[in-house]
Amino acid sequence: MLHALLIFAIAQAAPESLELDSLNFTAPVNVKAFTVKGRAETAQIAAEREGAKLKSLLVSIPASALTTGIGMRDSHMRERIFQTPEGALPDLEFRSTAAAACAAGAECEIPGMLKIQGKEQALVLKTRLEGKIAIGKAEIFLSKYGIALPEHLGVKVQEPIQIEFKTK
Amino acid sequence: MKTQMLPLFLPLTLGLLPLATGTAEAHPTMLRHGYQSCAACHSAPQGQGALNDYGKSIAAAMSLLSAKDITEAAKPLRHGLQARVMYVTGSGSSALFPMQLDYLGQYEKEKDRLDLTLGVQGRRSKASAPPNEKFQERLVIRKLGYARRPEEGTELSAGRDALPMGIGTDDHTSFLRARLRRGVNDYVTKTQLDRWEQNFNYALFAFGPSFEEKRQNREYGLGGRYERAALGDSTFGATAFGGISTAIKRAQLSAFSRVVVLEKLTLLAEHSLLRRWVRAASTGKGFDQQVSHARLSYFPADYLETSLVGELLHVEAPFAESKRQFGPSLNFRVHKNISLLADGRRIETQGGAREKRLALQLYGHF
Repeated sequence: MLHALLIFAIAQAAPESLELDSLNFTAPVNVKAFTVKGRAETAQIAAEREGAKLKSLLVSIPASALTTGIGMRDSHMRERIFQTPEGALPDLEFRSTAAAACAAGAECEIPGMLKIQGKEQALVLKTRLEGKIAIGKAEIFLSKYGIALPEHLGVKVQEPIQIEFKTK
Repeated sequence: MKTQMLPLFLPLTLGLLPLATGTAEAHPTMLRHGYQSCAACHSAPQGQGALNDYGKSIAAAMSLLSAKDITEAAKPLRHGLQARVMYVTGSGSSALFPMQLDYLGQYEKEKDRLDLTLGVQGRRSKASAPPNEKFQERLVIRKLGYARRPEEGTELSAGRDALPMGIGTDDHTSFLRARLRRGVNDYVTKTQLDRWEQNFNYALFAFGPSFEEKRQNREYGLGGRYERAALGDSTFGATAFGGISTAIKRAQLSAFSRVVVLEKLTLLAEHSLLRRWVRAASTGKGFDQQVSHARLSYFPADYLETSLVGELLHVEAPFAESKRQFGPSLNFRVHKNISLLADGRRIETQGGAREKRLALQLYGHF
């Protein structure tokens, strides 16, 4: 399923590349015995900051970098969630839409747009800064993108999909 | 080397394996993929035995040779076959012999399920078999029962089966099973309630004898097993039960954990304390048996599990005994229908006796 987004840290004026430490997602299913868990193996993050204000944030994740640890689940995820009807596999992309003031240690909200299959929907990242490290979370609803919740032999993914991330 | 009865087991097993379309054994290490309860992939909530359709699909995805995407429609009637062959060496002799051959049958429709596991007991040698033993005398019903799942997360079952205990290792020669009578040669009659949620599962059961025992060994009792997720994908739990027969009373407590150490490294551990009281003894004083078990597993690929296993056994007088066994294990999921398991053990007793054992198991389901 997922996607991700990320954060900023300390920068002045010019956009700064940030390194991803971890980005994990959890999707509940209709069966109580388990949840689908996965991670992003890589992401590109660029942030622009002015003082305590985050001016802009851009996060890009290749759909192929998202994995659940089982190949079959990964291929289902790509085919059923991230692949366009034309067969393309565009990156997931989060772009902030307004500046956010994030005081150290306090949670702030970064409004933006998340692109899946090339379609954009609003998403808010809840983020906390601990020194240069940004820690945050978000909830994603695939149905907002018109994506049917994946089902396989009686096991069906439920919403929302939870995302947690951390930068280095 | 003695090979009695292999001609019966091996051709039958190997001949049926190509028909298989599922796989068998339960793996607690599926925890590392987010499966915190066996109920996701197994028909029975406590795992082991037949896989459900989703479980078969996951088994295929995690095998070496199978097509990676199974989308078969549900089949109400499922069959399975599992065989176990043992090679033992030590004390100046060695033997290769069949341990068991089991047929697993299951009929599942909507909320109801019928289970049957019928086994043929192997014999280490002709000398170890009762005189004039007939084939049908080696048949054993390991499981025969009915289960109903009124809602997702709840199951009621009744019938003949083993008790759900601890980490549920599938190694029948481990002290955890062989010395605590967990599904090795004890198949009680029981009723059981299973409940499971995302972060915990439990089973409560009441049991009675199978009525195959001698009269003085017919045991009645109660027990339960509880397991909870904690520290990410790991789980921790405990089991407890008490039973009474004409001959003895016994009570058991065990604590266990299944820990995902790293993405490809897991640790299963259990410590069990069993106290028995001989009812005819005038002192009323019981004696303890303790078993410690640890299994560290590394997964170089989805279809391959390599493990190091260590176990300690200590029994107080009057059956004073101390043993330890350790060695490697390999679980190779060759195909969605076929798994190969190998367990090598070096067994040492307090008196200095040593034995090496190699157990080979083939699992096939169809």
